[in-house]
Amino acid sequence: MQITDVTLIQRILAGEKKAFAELVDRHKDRGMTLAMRMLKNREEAEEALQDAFIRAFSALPRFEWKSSFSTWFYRILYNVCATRLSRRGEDIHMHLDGSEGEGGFDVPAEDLLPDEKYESDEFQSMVTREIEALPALYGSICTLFFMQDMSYDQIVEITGLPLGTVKVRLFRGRMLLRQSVGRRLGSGKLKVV
Amino acid sequence: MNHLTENEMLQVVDGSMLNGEKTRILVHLESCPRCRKEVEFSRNLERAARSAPLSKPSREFTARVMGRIAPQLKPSIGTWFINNLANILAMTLVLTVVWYAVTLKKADGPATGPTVVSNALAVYSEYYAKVRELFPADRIRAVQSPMTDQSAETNKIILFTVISILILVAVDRLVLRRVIRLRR
Repeated sequence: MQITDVTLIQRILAGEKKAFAELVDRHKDRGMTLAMRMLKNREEAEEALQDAFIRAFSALPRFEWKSSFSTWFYRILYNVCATRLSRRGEDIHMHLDGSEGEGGFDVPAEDLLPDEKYESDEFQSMVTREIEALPALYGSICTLFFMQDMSYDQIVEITGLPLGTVKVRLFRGRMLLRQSVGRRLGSGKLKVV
Repeated sequence: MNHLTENEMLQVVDGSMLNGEKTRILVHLESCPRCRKEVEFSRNLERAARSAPLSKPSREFTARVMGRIAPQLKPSIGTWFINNLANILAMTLVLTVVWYAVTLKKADGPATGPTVVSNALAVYSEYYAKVRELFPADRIRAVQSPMTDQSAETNKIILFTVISILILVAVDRLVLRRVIRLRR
């Protein structure tokens, strides 16, 4: 039976150093994915992730158990990455105006694939590449939504953004992803059999 | 025929259609192969997005994090004792030998200093000087073949050579540990 995050945190607070290593091992891959999709640079993403774990460790005695460790930790990581982005001059906290799209599709139906092609590794790789290429503004929200399977409320808690902004960003991110994959299909990168 | 909007299509994918709109959207999907195909494409796209492989940090990542938080951790007395076991043993040996040397000196004659510490230092300095003095080739041979020369002086030379090595080991260990800590 796998030990829960709660038990690990209790052990850490009792002075068991090894338990924190297990917590790091448990969350580092998902954390790295979020950091990579925000910062788009492997080295910087790893540094940000390291900073986030160290901050989490220092703040662990103040952890209030109101949310899960992962939600709390991703909030720290998101803020570390957002700070790094703002140092580069990219503001991830800006609020977007405008409504969710009402337009039609721009992926020609004839470029869509037969069902079996959706199961291929090639399609999977193409989608992965396109998610990684999404701007940080949308990539971060889409990553939390898809990768972590998080609800709107959890994303609001992590990002500190208003619910409306989260919804708009997620919608736009999903549409951008759809359009970019559609364009690739249209350009014949993945041949329809 | 009006096709579904992007928003309506995502509502179908998420299963979050509003009650008032649900019937209209479903009726449209029944009769529109294009919109059905678009919805299917979106479903598969998002399924692929959910199962996209995770990025992994470097292999030594966890060790590096643990190295950086190490100074923040307050070790228990037991952990501290184990971590410093070699230092404790080395220092115990040094102190034992110094105590032994002081005892030897007292047996030879009256103490020359006012305190035990100054006696110990004086004795150690005296014997260390002798080691330096006797270090040349003939004495090295004597150390290498103790069975042929069992004099008390040779034993003392060996003893204080060991003390010197132990002190060096203890100092080196402390310096080394500091360097490692700084690198972290």
